[in-house]
Amino acid sequence: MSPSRRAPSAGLAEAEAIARAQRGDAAAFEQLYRLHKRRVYSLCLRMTSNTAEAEDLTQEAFLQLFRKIATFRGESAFSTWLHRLSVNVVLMHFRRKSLPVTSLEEASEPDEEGGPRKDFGGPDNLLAGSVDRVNLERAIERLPRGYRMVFLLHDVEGYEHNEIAEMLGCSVGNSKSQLHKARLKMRGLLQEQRAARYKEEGPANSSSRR
Amino acid sequence: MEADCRNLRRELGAYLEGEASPELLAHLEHCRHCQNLVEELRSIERAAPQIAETYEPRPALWKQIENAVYAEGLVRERPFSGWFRDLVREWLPLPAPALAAAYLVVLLIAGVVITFRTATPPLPAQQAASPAPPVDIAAELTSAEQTMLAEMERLNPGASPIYRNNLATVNYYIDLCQRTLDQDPGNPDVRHSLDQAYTQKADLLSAMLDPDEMRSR
Repeated sequence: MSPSRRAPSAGLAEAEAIARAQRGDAAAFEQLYRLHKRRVYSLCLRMTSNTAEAEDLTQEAFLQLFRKIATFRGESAFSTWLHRLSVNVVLMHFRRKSLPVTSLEEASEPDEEGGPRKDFGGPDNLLAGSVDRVNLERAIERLPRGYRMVFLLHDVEGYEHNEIAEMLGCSVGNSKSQLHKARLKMRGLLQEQRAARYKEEGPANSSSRR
Repeated sequence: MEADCRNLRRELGAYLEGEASPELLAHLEHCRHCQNLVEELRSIERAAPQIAETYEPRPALWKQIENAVYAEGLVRERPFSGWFRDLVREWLPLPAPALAAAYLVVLLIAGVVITFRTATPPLPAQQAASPAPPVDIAAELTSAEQTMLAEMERLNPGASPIYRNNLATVNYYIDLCQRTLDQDPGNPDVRHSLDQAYTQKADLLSAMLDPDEMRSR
């Protein structure tokens, strides 16, 4: 995984909290939870699209962390270790439920243009300015699970294709092609959302709404 | 869209990964449509990491995890008793200044009580000292805590080590939060943790002032 995207804050404080947690200090456990809960919960929620499941998986991820923390030796960054563990918890959950984690043939394969061809009668196709958090979240929710998984792992979480291939049990080439299709699909969904806003609000607001 | 575009766009994924055929590179030189597509896909890629930490779990989730942590015996012991933790949780909605104020009030009371219990009549020379020198608040607070602990040890040696350990834990936690906050001043979680730590400290000191705690049983 690429170096953590978290700001380089709390490095020393985190190291101390880890050392204390390894000795069974309850306050240090809570400190580690507060530092990482958003990242872990956001990952679980996006992958499952279900708050109850996301909470269960977040709980399981942190419990696994606390059970194993004595074995953490610092070979990799703590956040990398925890996030990988969280991804594994989610993937195990899907496997237990026999839900596929990759999808070679989605029901609606995006074509090279990035989505179902429609004449929206709206603005030009450039998305610049409308790829914001809200629109991105909405589009991710609408991505088929197989695409969503690869997109989240690579573009949001920062994993490399070889890591994703190992986690999902697919080839590196498959991970790359799934990612490309996922981005094309995302582009199509973002265009749809933008066109819908254009229709609703007119050109003045459609590109700048947050 | 030209036939070239349709054929070459299958390679765009590889292009975005830094691998591209000479044909695609040549095509991208002059094809505005494909250039736009590349730019749009890149804007998605650039924006994606910003949403990694969007969602906040319910505060009750930590309580569940914490209960499981204790049930599994993953921590040494609960630092505070159940009623004390419940009391702290009741206080949590208070804003930081109120908590800090509570802490100061407790220390003020502590100072008065201890002075009352242990004071000897001041010397005339001390009474005449005026004006008062500037006061280092942090040093005063630390000194008041130490005085309280010493008093506790004198009056209730059995309970004293428990309070000393708990105060040390809370002080460590405050220090940890403060240092984290110095590095990341806008972090609401750390602020929340700091408020919580001060609440615990205020409550702990308040419990120490309980007449039943201040005497041997």
